[in-house]
Parts: sequence; structure tokens; C-alpha cells
Amino acid sequence: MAAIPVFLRGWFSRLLVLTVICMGFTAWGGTATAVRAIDDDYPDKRVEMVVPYSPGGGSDIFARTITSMLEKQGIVDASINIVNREGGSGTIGGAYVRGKEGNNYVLMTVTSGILTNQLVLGTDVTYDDFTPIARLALDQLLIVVPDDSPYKGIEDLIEAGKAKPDEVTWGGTGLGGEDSLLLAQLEQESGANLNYVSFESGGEVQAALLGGHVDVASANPNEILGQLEAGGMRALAVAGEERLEALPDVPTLKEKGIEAVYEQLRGVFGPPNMDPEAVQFWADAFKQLSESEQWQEEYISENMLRSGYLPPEEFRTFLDEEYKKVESSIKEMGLGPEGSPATPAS
Amino acid sequence: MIETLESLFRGFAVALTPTNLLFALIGVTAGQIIGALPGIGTVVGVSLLLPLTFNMDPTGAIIMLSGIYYGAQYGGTISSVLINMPGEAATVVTTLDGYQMARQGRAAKALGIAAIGSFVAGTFGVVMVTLLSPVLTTFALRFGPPEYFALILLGFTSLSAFSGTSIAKGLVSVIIGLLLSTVGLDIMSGRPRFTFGEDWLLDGFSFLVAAIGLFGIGEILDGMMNPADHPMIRTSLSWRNSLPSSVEWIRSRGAMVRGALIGFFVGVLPGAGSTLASFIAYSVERSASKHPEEFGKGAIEGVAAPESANNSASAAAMIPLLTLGIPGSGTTAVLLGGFLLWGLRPGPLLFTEHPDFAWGLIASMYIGNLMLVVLNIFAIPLFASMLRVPYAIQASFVVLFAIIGAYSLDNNPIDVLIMTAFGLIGFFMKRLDYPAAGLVLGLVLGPLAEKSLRQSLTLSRGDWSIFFTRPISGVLMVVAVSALLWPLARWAIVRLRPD
Amino acid sequence: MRPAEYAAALLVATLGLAAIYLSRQLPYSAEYGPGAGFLPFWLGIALVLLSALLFREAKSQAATEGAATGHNDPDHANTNLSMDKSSRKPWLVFLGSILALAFLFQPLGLLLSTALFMLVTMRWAAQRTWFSSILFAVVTPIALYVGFSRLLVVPLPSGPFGF
Repeated sequence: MAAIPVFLRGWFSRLLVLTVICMGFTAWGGTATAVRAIDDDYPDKRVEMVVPYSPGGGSDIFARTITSMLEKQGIVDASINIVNREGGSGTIGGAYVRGKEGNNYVLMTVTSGILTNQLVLGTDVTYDDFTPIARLALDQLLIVVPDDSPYKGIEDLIEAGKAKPDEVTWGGTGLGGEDSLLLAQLEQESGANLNYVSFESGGEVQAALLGGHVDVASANPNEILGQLEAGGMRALAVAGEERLEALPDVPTLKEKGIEAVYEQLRGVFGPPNMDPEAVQFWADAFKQLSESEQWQEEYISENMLRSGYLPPEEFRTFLDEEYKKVESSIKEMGLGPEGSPATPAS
Repeated sequence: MIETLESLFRGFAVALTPTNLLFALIGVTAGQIIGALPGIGTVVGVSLLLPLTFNMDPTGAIIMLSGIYYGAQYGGTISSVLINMPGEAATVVTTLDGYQMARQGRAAKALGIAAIGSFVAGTFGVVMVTLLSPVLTTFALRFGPPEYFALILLGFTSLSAFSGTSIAKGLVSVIIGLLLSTVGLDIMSGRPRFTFGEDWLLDGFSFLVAAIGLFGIGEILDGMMNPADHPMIRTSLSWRNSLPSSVEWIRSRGAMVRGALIGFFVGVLPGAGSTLASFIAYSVERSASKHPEEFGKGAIEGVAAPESANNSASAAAMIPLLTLGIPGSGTTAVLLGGFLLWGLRPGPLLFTEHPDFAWGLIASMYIGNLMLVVLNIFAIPLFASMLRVPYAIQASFVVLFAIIGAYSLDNNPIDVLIMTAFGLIGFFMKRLDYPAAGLVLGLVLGPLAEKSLRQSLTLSRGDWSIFFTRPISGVLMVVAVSALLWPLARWAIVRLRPD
Repeated sequence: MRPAEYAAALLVATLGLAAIYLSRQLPYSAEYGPGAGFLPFWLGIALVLLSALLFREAKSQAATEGAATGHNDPDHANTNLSMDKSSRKPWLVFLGSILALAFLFQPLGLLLSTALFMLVTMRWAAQRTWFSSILFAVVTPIALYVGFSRLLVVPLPSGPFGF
């Protein structure tokens, strides 16, 4: 041991001590990383579920819920590892999965964001790069006002928007995202004209609405149900196909004669050229999951979503249709890569 | 009041059960370590452990995760002080004086005052959360885009604290930071700027990736030019060493109080956050100080003020989260995701519907802060003894941590290259005396400033008077504009006057 | 050092001009208030103006230094880009290793790239003995792997050989 240099003696042992401390507190965490599935059937090794958005967000909750339910209900025997690869509005994770061509052990959560990215930002990650596996749920948008707002119903809002064009302010996250697309549809269908103010996150929109800085806002139900229950906000309408179970008194825009529907999809994609058997395996697994009671109770009701399973082929058709719809809205809004010469359209 | 105290006692009953105490201890220890590792920030830390809490009791889970959150604010100081590499966004300012103190052999003192300041301010923050949550919520909601804009302008006044010999160089650094901050997706117009069609530029430059490179790698490249200038520092392993002397204590007392107050009021605003709080606190401290010339050269107040500010800000950020269900920062957004995962509905009814959860969390924050200060005072000499490693060896480890930190921020290999590029920039900036902190300031405040400016003008439909007709915004604007223009005016007068 | 000051000023000017040019392609104003190109445009103008000031400062600095030599602040005012002859080689090795590690981290994976980095920097930048360099090159990657990948479950890159 005499060969060990002198400088190592003091601090190296200290580093060791530190390492041991680290090990001590995380050892319990280490045990949670599950072992490889033992059976011979696919999937015979750990599956990576890529979430292209940040932890704690809607996609992340979706991923964690479905993987835990798949494991708990014994539908899938392999362990699924969730990896958040956020960035670029979901394109960073998308590009990563696209690069895993033919890999049967990679999955990715997908939202309508992939369509708008392509159309608004001109990103080169497009939805038809991937293998659609299943659509599982639809997230609605609610139109809300503060409790003391003069708008008692959606009609009042439309009227104000017609009488004083651009004076009523509407808060939403980002431009080209779901909130602005909904407003574009609403304006197109009703002839009202509102002033859209873009914020960074749903939380900022809510704060601005509660503080009276904007007049009206759109938000996903699970973000604001707490506010609605406490009476700080009121919902004027829901932009879905049908009313929400938790808010039976809130009408849909359609009922009010405004043909505006915006529902955000939640589904799962595989990398390009995934084996058809693997696709089928997962599609079946998700189908079984979406029919379970736990799914309905702990995910759909809890997060106020609409359950909507679609198998691979129908999912693809749905995406094609949705793409066309979003494309026309975005043209209407004058957005899109052609409008910004700094980014050549690809 | 009596009711509040009763609820708090109930909260303590929840937080003091052995399991919840254990969760708090695990949380703060993990936070301490995660915070100390550059790049592995709170967001990453909380999200790493979030999945493990999936099946836990929500109260235990939130106690553990929020422990990581405020524990990381303590831990982030360690790498800032020891290797000039901010472990957390909110500890960037701490590097300015903290690292200088370490080079003078006062690393333990810097870490000690940071821990004490964090404890004082963190506890102050929790007391305020306990007593004044509803009032403060109303206050926070009065801040709309124009108020944020004025507040951020105030943040820019800290520029004068960084510019060393040349104001021109300071301004250039800030402007380059602002310019870099415009890269990426512009949320106001919904179009990408300066991304040249590259998807990886859509998010722009992550401020932490830039800071790790500019400070950490830049400093190391500079230091390696003359490793002999960095002699091994003999520090004693006694914990007494980390306690401030009476002179130091007198100097930092005011800094802690001011830092705690500023941090709290900035932190309670959703979206402003502890980073802005630490910048403003540093700037205020420098103007309040009797010896502003010592700032940037190892002034102990320069560590005490921002460290107190970021801790009380992180306590304050719990207010919008608990009372409204609105996350005020990246980390609280992750915590909010946790609420949903555990089946709790965030919002104004949280306190009434889940009192054990809300008050248990608040009580655990008192306990957690106490654990952290004890943990720190005793562990500091151990951390500080890392400086006894020969400089050239330290340097290699700094590089490794920087690379791993940059990568693990988003699991993105491109961030490693960006970080390295910023490292080279940081090296040249240091050699040519351009303040890298100015660039970071621009990068942090740029997007906030531009966004709130454009939001305000959209709200007012192009009318600039919106910044002055609203009371809070008007007052802040007058303060910020005069604070910004005064040094410029003075500089112009001095320069233009014939000798 | 003066050439470096001038080069920096020139770089600032170029950056400013580039910002002005690129921001001209973005809308200067939006429906209400400034558009996407507003801020970068004015920042570009400011940089160009400041670069002129930097040139002037560098010039006057050169003049004062010519007049009164020997004024040397030990730490910060030393804007010298040259260094000791003896530390030049280790420094270049160190810089090269950082760049190599940045580029090889993903393709080679955590273990291999950090092992190479430690070996090279310990041996030629820190000038340790072969024995301790190799020891560092073996122990460090393993410690990093255990600490980050295993205990903290941070997904770090694995190389072509699966480690």
C-alpha cells in the first residue's frame, strides 16, 4: 500500500465517506428499479417510455399512470422506464425516438402538440415519422372567467367581442398552441373579436385571470377544477364534443351553436418501422387498460378527461384528419413557418 | 390567529411522526447533495424521486419532495463557493463573492454564513407562509404583466454591481446575454427566432447550461494557466470554523434581514422566482453597504444577502402553490404534478379539504430548515476540505461534473457542447475582464422582460402609459428607471467633463 | 493584450451587425406594441455603438499603459492572454481534453470517455505519475457510474459496447 501517493490519503478517504453517505440514502431508491422480466415473451427486457415534456406535466402524469396501471394490472410483465426528454416543445424527445428506428423497446407519449409544432414551427419531426400505436384519451378545454366577471354565459362574451372588437382580453399559453387555436375557431365561428394575450404557462394564465389582468382564459379542466370548486372562477363553456361529467351544468360550445371543438389527444407512438407484432402487442395492452375500471376511475375521472381508445390504423386516420383541421386554423391565423423567413420551411 | 396556531400544531403532530421525520430527513439530505451537483438541479432532483412517491402517502411524499426543493437551495451554494460553478440557478450570484472567499481560504466561513442566512430567511419565510398566506396571495395577484416588467427592470440594476473596471464591458455582457435570450421559440408571436431551422435551438440557451460553462469551465481554464496561483488550502476540520466571527456576524446581520424580505416578496410572485430575488438582493445589499468596493472581492454580505433571498423566496413560492394551486417556478410545477399524481386537487380548497397535508407540509418546513442548518454546519468543513486537493486534480473533476450536469439537465448531448462553448466564451471574458455574471443576468431576465413588456402592450393595445398609470407598476418603474439611469448619468458626466 | 481587446471589440461589432441583419427579417412590430424583431434590432444597434466605445477604451488604455508602466493589479486588471512557458503545454492538453470529452461523451459513453479524460489530464495536465493516473482513470468512471447512473438513476450515455 506504500505505493498510494500521499495526497490520496487525506481527501480521498473523505470522498469515499461522501460516496458512502450518498449510497446510504439512495439505496432504498435503487431497489425500486425493477428487474428484467423473466418470461420469454415480448417484451423480454426493459422498455423505455420517452416523455418529450417535463416531469409533472400532463404527458408525464399520463405516462406514469399508464405504465403503473399496466404493471399493476399485470397486463404487461416487463418494467417500463420513464425518461423525460424535454425541450423544443416536444421535438427533442421526438427526434430521439425517431432515431430509434425499428426498436421495439421504445415508446413515446404523444399529444396534439406534434401536429402544431410541425405546422406552426416548421419542425422536421412530423407525426408520420412515427408508428402510431394507440390513442387513449382526449383532454378538453374550458373557457373560464373570474367569479365577478360581467359575462354570465358564453353569449355575453361573444356579444362583448362583437360590440367592442379586440377589447376583451383572452389569456392562453403560447401562440399557435391549443388555447390560441380554440380562440381562432371561436372567432371564426361566432364573428366575435377578442384580444389574445400569450403567457408562458397555465399557472401564469390563471394568476392573470384571478388578478383581473385578463378578462377570460382557456385552460384544461384538471388545472382549474380546484378554482371552480372554490368559487374563484366560473366556467362559461367547454370546447369538447360533449359536456364534462364533473361539470354537468357547463354547456359545450356546440350546444350554443358555435361549431368550435378543440380536444387535445393523448396517445402512444412507437419509433419508425416498429415490428407489427410489437405494435399489436402494445395496442392490445392499451385496449385492455382503457377498458379497466381503474383507468376510468383513477385517470379519466381524476383528470377530467374523455376516454377514447383508438387502435393503430384508426389512430393514424384520426391524426390525418386532425392535421387538416389544425392546418386550416393556422392558415387562418396567419401563422406558420412561411410567415417567418428566419426559418426556411422544411 | 389562534386558529392558525391550532392548525400549525396539528401540522406539527403530522410532521413529527417518525416516518414523516424520516422522509423530511431523506428529502433535505438528498436535496443538499442534488443541489451541490451542478446541473442536477431541483427540477431534476424532484422529478427523479417523484416516480418513487407514486404509491406513497401524499403527506409523506410532499414532505420529502419539498425537502429536496429547499434542501437544494442550501446545497447549491456549495459548488458555487468551492468551484465557482453554480449548482442552482438561484446561486449564480453567490459565486461572485463566495468563490473569492474560498480563494482567500474562507470557504468554510462563506458556506457557514450561507447556511445560517438560509436558515434565518427560510424560517422567516415559513413563518410568513403560516401567518399571512391569504393576504400575500391577494398581494401577489395584483402583479400583472406591467408590474412584472417594472420589477424585472429593477433586477437589471444589479448590473452595476458586476461591472468591474469598465461600464462599457458590463453593458456589452448584458446585451449579449439579452440577445442570446431571444434565440428560440418566441411565445408572443408563436414563431422561432434565430434558430436557423434547428430544432435544438427552439428552447433557446438554457441559462443553467450557460452558467455552468461560463463560470465553471471558464474559471478552470483560467486557473489552469497558472495552477501555482491556487495553492492547496489548509482548512481545519472543526465545525467551529464555519461559524462567523463577531465582525462578520455584524456585517451580515443586515444583509440577512434585507435578503429575507426581498426574497420573500419577489418569491411570492408566480413566475418571478428565487433567481430574480437573489439578483435584486445582491444589488440592494451593495448599495446599502458601507464598503461597496469589497463586493466581488469576497465580501461576506455578498454571500449572505442572495443566499437568504433565495431561501425565503423558495418558501414564499409555496404560497401560490398551496393557496391557489398555481406553481411559481419550475420546481413547484413539478410538485404540483405530484399533487395530481397522488390524487390531490390543488386549489384554494386544499387547506380546508386536506388540512393534514397542507399544514403537515408547512410544519415540516420548520423542521427541515432546522435539520439543514445543523447538517450544514457540521458537514461544511468536510466539503471545504475538498479544496485541499491539488488544483490540477480538482480541475478535472470540475470538468466531469460540468459535463454530466449539462447532459443530465435535459438528457441532451447537445447541451454538453453548448456548455463547453460557453466555457470557452467564459474563459475569454474573464481574461478580457468582461463580467460573465452580466451575460447570465441578461440571459435570465431577458425573456421575462421582453415577454412582460409585450404582454403589457397587448393588454393596453399599444398604449405605453400602462406602465405608469397602475399604482404598483408606476412606483416600481420610477424606482427602477432612476436606479438604472443614475449610474449612467454619473458616468457620462465624469467622462464628458474636461479634465 | 491590446490585439485581444481590439479583436473583442470587433467581435462585438460583428455580433451587433449580425443581430441587426437577422432581426430585419422578423416583424418589427406586432398588432400591438413591439414584435419579434424589435428587441434584437435595438440590442444590435446598442452593441455596435458600444463596440466603438470599446475601441476607444482599448486605445486610451494603451496610451496610459505606455505612459506609466508597472501599474499592475494582481488579479483582475490582468487581461493578459499569454502565460508561463511551463504551464502552456499542460494547459493545451487540458483544453484539448475538455473539447474531446465534450464531443466523445455521447458516442463513447460515460465510462470510456471519462476514463480517457482522466488518464490524459492526470498524466499530462496534472503531471501525476503513471500509477496514480491509471488509478484515477479506473476509479473515477466507476464512481461516477455508480453515483449517477445507479444511485441517482440519471440516464447517462452508454457507449457502443453497451457500457
